[in-house]
Amino acid sequence: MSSMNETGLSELLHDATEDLPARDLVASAWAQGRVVRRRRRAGVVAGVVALVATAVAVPMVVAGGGSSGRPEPAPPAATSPSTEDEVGVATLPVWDPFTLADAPRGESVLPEVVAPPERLPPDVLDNPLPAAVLAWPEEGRDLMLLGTDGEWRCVPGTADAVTGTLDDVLRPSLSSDGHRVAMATNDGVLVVDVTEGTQQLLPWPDEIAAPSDTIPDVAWMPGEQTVLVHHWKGGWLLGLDGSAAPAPYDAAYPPPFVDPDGPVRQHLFDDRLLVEWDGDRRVDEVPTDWWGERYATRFGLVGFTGAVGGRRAGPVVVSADDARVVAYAPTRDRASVYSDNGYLSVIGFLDPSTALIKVAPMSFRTMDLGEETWHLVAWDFESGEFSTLTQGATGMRRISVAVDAVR
Amino acid sequence: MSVVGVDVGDEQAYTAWAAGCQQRLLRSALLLTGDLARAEDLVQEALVKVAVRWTRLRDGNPTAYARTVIHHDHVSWWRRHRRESPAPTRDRHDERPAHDTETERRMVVLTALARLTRAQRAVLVLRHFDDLSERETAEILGVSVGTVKSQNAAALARLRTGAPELLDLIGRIS
Repeated sequence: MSSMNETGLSELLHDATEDLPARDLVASAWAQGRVVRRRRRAGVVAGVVALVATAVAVPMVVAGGGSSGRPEPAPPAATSPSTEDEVGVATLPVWDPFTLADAPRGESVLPEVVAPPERLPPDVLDNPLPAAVLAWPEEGRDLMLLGTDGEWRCVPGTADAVTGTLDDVLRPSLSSDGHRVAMATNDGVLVVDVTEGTQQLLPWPDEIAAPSDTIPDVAWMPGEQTVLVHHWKGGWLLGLDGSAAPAPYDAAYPPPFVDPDGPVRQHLFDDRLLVEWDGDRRVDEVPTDWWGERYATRFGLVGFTGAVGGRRAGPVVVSADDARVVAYAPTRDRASVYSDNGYLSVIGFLDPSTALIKVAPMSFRTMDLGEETWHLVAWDFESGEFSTLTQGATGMRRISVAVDAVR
Repeated sequence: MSVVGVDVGDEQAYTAWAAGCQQRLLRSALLLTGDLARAEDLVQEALVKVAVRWTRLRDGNPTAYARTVIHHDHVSWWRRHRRESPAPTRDRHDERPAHDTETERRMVVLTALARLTRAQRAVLVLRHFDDLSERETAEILGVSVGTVKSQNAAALARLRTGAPELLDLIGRIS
């Protein structure tokens, strides 16, 4: 290759890449960099305090790398070819949850930062709430409820209601209006009416009463008179009237999800079908070409964390009628942070164009577990805008939210 | 206003710098990897690392630092995934009619570059796309100038014998 052809090679390399699509990677990079700087600074301050307190020279390690100016060797996660064009969503921008640091605040009854009180709040049985907007479980503490009036309450006697499992933390489920909260315990499903200060225990049917390694999740059926138990042996429906019956839904994962106003739906991944149930009848099924987990449904829509056509997981909204993708915000999802590791979930719909998302910007490469900040986010998927409703520390990962009480 | 030692002026300066170079870095990373999604990840990672160190880099050469990050991260990734198929992949922009000459040209280039070793490809991109000197290339890759010379010569020789379609394209534009 002559020198003239070397010049030709240079021109060819430029020509071959000249029309690449323009991507805005800058804003999210600065936001993510700011998070890392803050964390390092917090680590340095904590280290200095520790040094002063102990007067002992201890080597200080700050997560995320040193200050040598050399780049860290850790590589980005593996990627695979994108086929997003196949489903017509190629033009969607990649959403980086780290940009939530600069997102506008959305309308909500929730405080800007939510954190349960250090001292146990008053008992909800003696001090009812107008409604609870979120339920906050913590290991070894009674379940705490945040009212729509901003007051905290506890559900007495629940600190040790789950024992002998691999993770002895309650998994509460608030009804969409925030009037009731249900939670699986060792003895059955405890249901508390937070507006009246009453409670009742729905005993376990014999079929699912045996001890389990994990306590099952529960969900409210429409009308808030029946609780759906997602037991690994199969679903059960427990009525507030004392009734108990096996649920007709498929026992496969992911479990069925309930529209507060209507049907129960389920995505049968192996069959690639989105199915709809009316009572114990399967009344509709439509083929799907996406995968997902952690589903919510309402307004004829289904929301979940998943991916459409390609590798990038993110929040997705599809039409319940035909499984057509309505909205999709792909993330980079390195190390499956937002998908398999659960740092992003669609937990409901605030209105027909706004999904409620629980998400924690996270990088396993630069952050330690527990360092993340969780956000409740309103995703206006018609405009593509994200606004934060509240944020909190790592314990917020386990909260249940009464979707209709948020605004 | 100062936020953890970085003020608004820093953000503006960073934004101006990053906006000015991100597309160039992306093009270079695509030539390096052959995969647009991976190229985006590499550039994003490099921009974040520059942002973290902006107060120390702003008066120096942040672009050189970003290039170094991209190449180091790519090497790390390659070491972990070298058993996987190295074939170039079609990116979103390639989902256009076959008669699109720009798309066709890119596929030819990426296919040709895939015939090079990782080190040869890195040298070729830095020397002939980023237009860096042998010394600058050596500093970014952490090798000697002699190695850059030999890798560059080997890369050109391999393309000459193994990628006639590339020669054809060069002939068309020269």
